[in-house]
Amino acid sequence: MQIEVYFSYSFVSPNSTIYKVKDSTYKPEIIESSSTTVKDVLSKGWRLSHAIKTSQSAQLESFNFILIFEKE
Amino acid sequence: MNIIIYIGVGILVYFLIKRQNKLTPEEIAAQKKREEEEAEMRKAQAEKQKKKEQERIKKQKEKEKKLLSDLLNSNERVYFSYSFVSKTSDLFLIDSSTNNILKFSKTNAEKLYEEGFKIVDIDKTGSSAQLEDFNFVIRFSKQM
Repeated sequence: MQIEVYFSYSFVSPNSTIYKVKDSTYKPEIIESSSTTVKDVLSKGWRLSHAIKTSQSAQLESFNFILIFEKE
Repeated sequence: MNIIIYIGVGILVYFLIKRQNKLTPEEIAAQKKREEEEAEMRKAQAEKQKKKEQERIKKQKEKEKKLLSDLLNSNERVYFSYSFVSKTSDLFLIDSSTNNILKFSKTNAEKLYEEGFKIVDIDKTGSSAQLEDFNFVIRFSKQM
C-alpha cells in the first residue's frame, strides 16, 4: 500500500486546490508546482482515507486540511 | 658605610633563605615520587569515571533497544509527529510509561506503509495552524 499526503488552504469541494508540502524541520513549504485537486488524484486510483481539519477557523476560506490518500 | 653593611646583611639573608629552600636529593626524589603517585591516582580516577559512563550508556542503549523491540513487535503503533505534512515527515514512537518521544524510533509514513501498516486514526494535537506546528498523534495498524 502507498500513501500520499496533501495540504489544502480551503478544502470545500473535489475541485479545491491541494498541494504537497516540502518537508523541513525548519519551515515546511507548499510545493506550488504540485498543485492538483482531489478529483484528479482520485482519477489516478488513489483513495481519500483521511481528511484532517488543521485550523480552528470556521470560515470557508480557512478550511485548512491535511488530506491523506492511499493506493493498493 | 652603613649602606655597605645593609647590603652585606641583605646578601647574607638572601643566601641563607636560598639555602634553606634548597631541597636535598632525597627530598627531590620523594617529591617526584609523590607527584607521580598523584598523577597515577588522577589517571585511575579518570579511567574509573570513563568506565562508569560507558556502562551507563551501554545500559541506557540496552533499555532503549528492549523498549523499541517491545513497541515494534506490536501491530498497533502510536506515533507522534512535530509536523506531519508529507509522507516523509518524521514520526516517533511514544513511551507510554513516561509519555516521552523516543527519538531513536524515528521513521515516516512511507516506510510504515511499505511495512504493511496503514493509518487508522489521526489527531491533530497542536492548536496552531502553522505548517511547522502540525503536531499529530497517528495510530498505525497492520492486519495479519
